[in-house]
Amino acid sequence: MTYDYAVIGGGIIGTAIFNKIIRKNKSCILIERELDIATGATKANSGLVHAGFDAETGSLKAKFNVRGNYLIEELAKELNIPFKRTGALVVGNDLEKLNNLKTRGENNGVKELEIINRDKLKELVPNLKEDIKYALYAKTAGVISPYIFAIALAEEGVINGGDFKLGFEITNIEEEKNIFKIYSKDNIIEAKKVINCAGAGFNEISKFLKVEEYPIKFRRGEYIVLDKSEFVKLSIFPLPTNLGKGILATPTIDGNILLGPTAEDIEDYNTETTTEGIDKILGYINSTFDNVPLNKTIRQFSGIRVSCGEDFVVEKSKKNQNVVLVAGINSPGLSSAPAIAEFVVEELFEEKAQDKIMKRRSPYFTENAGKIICRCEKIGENEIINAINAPIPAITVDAIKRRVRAGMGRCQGGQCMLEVCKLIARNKGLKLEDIKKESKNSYIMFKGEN
Amino acid sequence: MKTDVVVIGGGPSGMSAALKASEQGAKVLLVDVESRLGGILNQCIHNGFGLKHFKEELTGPEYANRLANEVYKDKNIEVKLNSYVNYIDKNKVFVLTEKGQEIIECSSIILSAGARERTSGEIYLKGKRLAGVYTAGTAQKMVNFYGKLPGKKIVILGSGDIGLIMARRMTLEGAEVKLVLEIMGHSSGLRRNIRQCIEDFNIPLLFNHTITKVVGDERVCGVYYAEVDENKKPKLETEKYIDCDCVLLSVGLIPENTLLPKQTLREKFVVVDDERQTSVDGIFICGNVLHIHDLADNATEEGEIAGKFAGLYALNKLKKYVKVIINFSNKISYCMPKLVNKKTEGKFTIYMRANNNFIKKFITVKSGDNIIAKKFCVGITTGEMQEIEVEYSKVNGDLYVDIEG
Repeated sequence: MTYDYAVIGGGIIGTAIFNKIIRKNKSCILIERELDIATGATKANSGLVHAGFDAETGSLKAKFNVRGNYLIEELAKELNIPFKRTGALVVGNDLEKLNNLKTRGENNGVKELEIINRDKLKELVPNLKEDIKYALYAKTAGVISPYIFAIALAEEGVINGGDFKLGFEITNIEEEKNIFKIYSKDNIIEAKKVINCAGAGFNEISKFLKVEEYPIKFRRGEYIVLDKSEFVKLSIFPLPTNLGKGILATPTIDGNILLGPTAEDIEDYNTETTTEGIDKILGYINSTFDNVPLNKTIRQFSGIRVSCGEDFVVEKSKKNQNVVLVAGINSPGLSSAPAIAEFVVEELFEEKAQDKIMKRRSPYFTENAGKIICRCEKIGENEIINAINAPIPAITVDAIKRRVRAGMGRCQGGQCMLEVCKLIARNKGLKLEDIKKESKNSYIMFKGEN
Repeated sequence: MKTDVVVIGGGPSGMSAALKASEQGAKVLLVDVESRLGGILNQCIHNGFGLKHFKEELTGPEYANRLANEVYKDKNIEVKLNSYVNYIDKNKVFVLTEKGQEIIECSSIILSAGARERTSGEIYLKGKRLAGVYTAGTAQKMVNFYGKLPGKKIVILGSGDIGLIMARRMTLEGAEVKLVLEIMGHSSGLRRNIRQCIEDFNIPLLFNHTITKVVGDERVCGVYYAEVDENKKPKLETEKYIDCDCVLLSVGLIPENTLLPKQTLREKFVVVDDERQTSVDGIFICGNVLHIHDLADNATEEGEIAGKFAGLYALNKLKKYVKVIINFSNKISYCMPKLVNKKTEGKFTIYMRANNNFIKKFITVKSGDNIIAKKFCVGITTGEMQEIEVEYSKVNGDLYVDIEG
């Protein structure tokens, strides 16, 4: 069949656009190179829904962030996923800068911004150092799981008629009579219109499409994850610099604490953690907070933010009216995703029909948990099996981890990883040694000489 | 359901505790999350178990079976497998089974849930998050339960006992153990394991070294490693690279004691008395969930103590005494227990771990100015628990343990 639309890239942007297209009752396929969706920048960021005061007034970032922040609340309810308006604070002693941020926020259309003093600050963040006196308090900021958000958007799209291809590595794209033929090594997908939201792989896809390429840059951000704690109950930022919003401390929607990110410009896409990066986070956090529960450290990771200039690129290709380009989606990309999707589908592609009523997706959790497999996070066998057999099946260890949190706890899968492998193998008719951690060749076990 | 004693965790300490509690006349429920009793012993298919307790050399599963057979013969003990204890309240244990949640009322609780392994995240291991980096215990399970190898060219970080055992195990399975790195100047493992698992197989073991970065694309393909300075910081000028397809971590065990009520007194370890009762009345604790034992035999001994007194407690037969504190010198990293009931007859044992290696020294226990126990030791290492017996009747005020001579 020839799809009305093909979305290339299964990150938060791709899944949001895919979902929106399905709501317009058009046929659509979501194409992802990896074995699961949300494996790039979407899985490795702060998980924040920003209020929208950071971006320059009039920019796409400002516009989409404020609109996205508004849309997410309703969308999360529909998708049956947790979202919480925890609030955010930008802390510092430079009242003028804080006031400027507040004014910018108000100009961007952000509601409920307030400058607070030490008393209120102490009440909100008991662990903040005494010498920090003021903060901009943004009540509309919140936290969400970025990968659960993307997975739920994609699943709902699939339940309502959308198609998807995972592990689909595009080798070429041809256009014939206004139909795109998208090739992989052993498959062809046909579509009338294409959205390139391939993130770090944007230019590769643009080359195939013979449309605009952008000078894409990579910026690495390292994070430290702490086990569940009440250390901070809302997101705490320093005053922003030209490198970004700075190192923050935030709760995640699951109750963990995230410390980070650093901001380091790098040449190649590389998600390693470094001594310098981790020391930088620890140094900053220890200078800003008391009682940091570093004994609860369970993991560190790096995420890569792509950029192509100051602002997002969300536009129709000037070379091909049937292609939309979405590039350089760094922060606040997660917060903006629903608004970007709305803009792409309703404005750029002019799909003005009312959204159709979508069939709801069901959560993986079940009262009948079965045997507990992940002891740290108390995840039962049946919940894992539900994720394996979900509309977008979880067939890797990390895919399970993202969906149900088995392996996310303090033992980091030490106790449950092999049982998870066994469940995937059994339910998918695979051999144990074929089970992968995440990507195509990330075999958990030794698979033979090659 | 109602019982006298609930034992949480069916490894060597939990099974021993259940048996002893039953011996006092108590009705016991032994709960375990796995589908069979034995705990981690089941994956320890090597020998060296039981020399102390059974006076013969057994494998881990054999040791587990001996205890399990006794447990299953005991009419006072009911075993509940595939059951996960969700939380505990004073006299209630909330258990998740395949059928849902069950509440068990009891008079005393013994926590014997074991330990978990320290992870790469807890030691801030640098590099990418790749397939092929596992804790040694996970690898042991992979090899011994699932019959699969984690890799063929192995670098092991840490020389704890599981790491040493896995160095030998991987070698016997045809893998090449290229290097064992230990950040400390000495191993925290047993001397016999260094000899039988490392030296006998000519595996290089580097002290004062650690991994500086794990590299690879999807699976590990190598590590950078370097010597560390006195602050355990890598000296970058000594950094080298070695090819490998698997990194195993043996960097410590952490008691999995999150089930204990919040108000339970904790210092470096959960504070217990010589009867292994915690600061919360009726909750006892033993085995690796209390502190890390070198030998299953020691965990059994501790389980027997906890089981006996938890049984007596449940039957209202446990007497109350004044308690004294065990203090210790800076040559000792910790003593177990922390508190002693001032009884008038019988003996108790103080277990202790030195924080350095010593040759031909005395372990002494003082009460006031009097030495009330003294023991000569040819060699004391950080890797091996020492023990010394003390008579209750000689205890007169707080105790002080030291290494002298």
